[in-house]
Amino acid sequence: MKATEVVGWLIPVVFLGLAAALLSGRQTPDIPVAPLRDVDRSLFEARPWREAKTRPVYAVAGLEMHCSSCHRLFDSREFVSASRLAQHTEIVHDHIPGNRCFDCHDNESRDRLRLITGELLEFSESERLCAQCHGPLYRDWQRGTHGKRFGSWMEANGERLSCLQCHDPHSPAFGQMSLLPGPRTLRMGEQPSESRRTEGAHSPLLRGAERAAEAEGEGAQDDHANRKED
Amino acid sequence: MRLSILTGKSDTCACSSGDSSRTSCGSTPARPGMSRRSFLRRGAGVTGGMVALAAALSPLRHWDEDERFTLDAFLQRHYKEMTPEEMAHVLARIRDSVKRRHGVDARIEDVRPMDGVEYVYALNLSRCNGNRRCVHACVEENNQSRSPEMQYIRVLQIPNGTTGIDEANHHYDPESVPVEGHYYLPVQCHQCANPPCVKVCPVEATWQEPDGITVIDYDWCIGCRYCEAACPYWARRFNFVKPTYATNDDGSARLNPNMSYLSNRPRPKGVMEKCTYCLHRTRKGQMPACLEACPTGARKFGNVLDPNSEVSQILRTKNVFVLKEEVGTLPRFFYYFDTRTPGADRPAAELALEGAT
Repeated sequence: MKATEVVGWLIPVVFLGLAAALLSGRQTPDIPVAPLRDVDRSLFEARPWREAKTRPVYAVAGLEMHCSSCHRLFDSREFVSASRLAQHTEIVHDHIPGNRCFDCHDNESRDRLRLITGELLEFSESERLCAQCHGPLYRDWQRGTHGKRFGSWMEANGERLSCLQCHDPHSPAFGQMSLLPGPRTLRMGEQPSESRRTEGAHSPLLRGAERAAEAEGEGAQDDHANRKED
Repeated sequence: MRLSILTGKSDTCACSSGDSSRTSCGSTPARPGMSRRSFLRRGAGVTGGMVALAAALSPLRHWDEDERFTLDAFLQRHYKEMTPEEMAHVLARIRDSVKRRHGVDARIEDVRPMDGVEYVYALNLSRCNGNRRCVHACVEENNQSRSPEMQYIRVLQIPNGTTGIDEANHHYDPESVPVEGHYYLPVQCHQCANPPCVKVCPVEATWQEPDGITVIDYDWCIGCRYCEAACPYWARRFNFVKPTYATNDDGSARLNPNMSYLSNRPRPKGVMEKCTYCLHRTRKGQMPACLEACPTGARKFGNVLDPNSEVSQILRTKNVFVLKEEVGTLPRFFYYFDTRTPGADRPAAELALEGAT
């Protein structure tokens, strides 16, 4: 028998074997699929981060009281350190150290805010108060490069958030935040909770770099280490 | 023995003896017609061929029962070649399919780009704290598969002082973010002006629209995944299996009913998908879902052709960079820090004047 003839017979035999295997075996490959995981949708609703106080009112026993309603009766000492507040205990004061109530609030008329120049502001104009110290940020906010715009990217239609819709004036820094779960895509399966950076086994971004490093041997890894030090 | 199909020689020889007579037989063809041997050979060949064909078609036995095969769908033309009537017809068919398969009354449209608009994304790395709200808002908005889970946005956690993405980890899972000593860099489709994914597509199932958004016709994609390999930002995702969605209490799938042909309609198994800057929202003037969900204000989106838009302001006044600039993809996705460019406060005209002198 010639070699070509052997090959000639082998081809249909192989095909028939394949056909038999395909017809009898499982048709869909066993792909590991992570089970469905639900994430709380309320966590990423489009809304202001916090509610800004735009009117000088305070809720007491379900009633809205103007600030001055109480403060007309109860006088406060000037230059009270905010950390020793007996009232308004919900206020955590963590702005700059040494910051006093009357740097921003007006002691005479508690329904107003007060600029360093002595000019009185409504609660709804608090941006100007912030701008006294945070000039560059205020400029960025005016340009739209700081802060957040909702709804529409067209200038006329969007809603731009004011300073206090994100920042608490008494404690303005963004602190630690909860986070939502990371990727668990098809071939990644269940991920260990701790960071895998040290092993780097599960980052597809890392894999390529590591493979290259392995291929080039120790020398490449040394280069990599040197580059990091640079 | 000889297999006529393979050797290409005549097999009409009617030799009665076996291999010994092969040479004489081959050289002197006898009467035409079909001998018993050649009949058997051909028969075996044909039977084998039929079985092989059946085997090759056997995956069709597991054809998705819900996905009815229609001539209509089979003959559907490429997105760019469809007439408005054809598109209306196709949208109606998709709407019916979504209703039948997922129990959702979808409003499915073909949203076209606006004139004079080119979308650009800017992301403030000084503000991003890696909370991943954008990732999950995107999943909800764009009807991505929940099992297996598909996410368009990949948030990288990178140690301070390093710029290389080889240091990055996107499986970070601390108690709260940000983690001390790290910064966060979210990556999604950069809607490149010079997109390598579009170049490699062998069937032109993906292309760049006039407003800069690179889109995919899911009904035209053949699932070769060349684009996934070509993308330097790992922005494309492939449906290896049939997408599965969360269900509502009434048994219907939890899908966003505002759909468009080129973005968030349910995708079949075996096609690519990716971020489209939420074109079904943004082409109507809305913000992308990831931006709406961001609590830190790190995400900025807008029309770069409008000199007063937020993104134009950022490009003018901030220190902006793009990822992997050296690969020449010209992304429409910019990263910036809150540090300021000297002279950025001054009017552009003044700077131009200075440059001229």
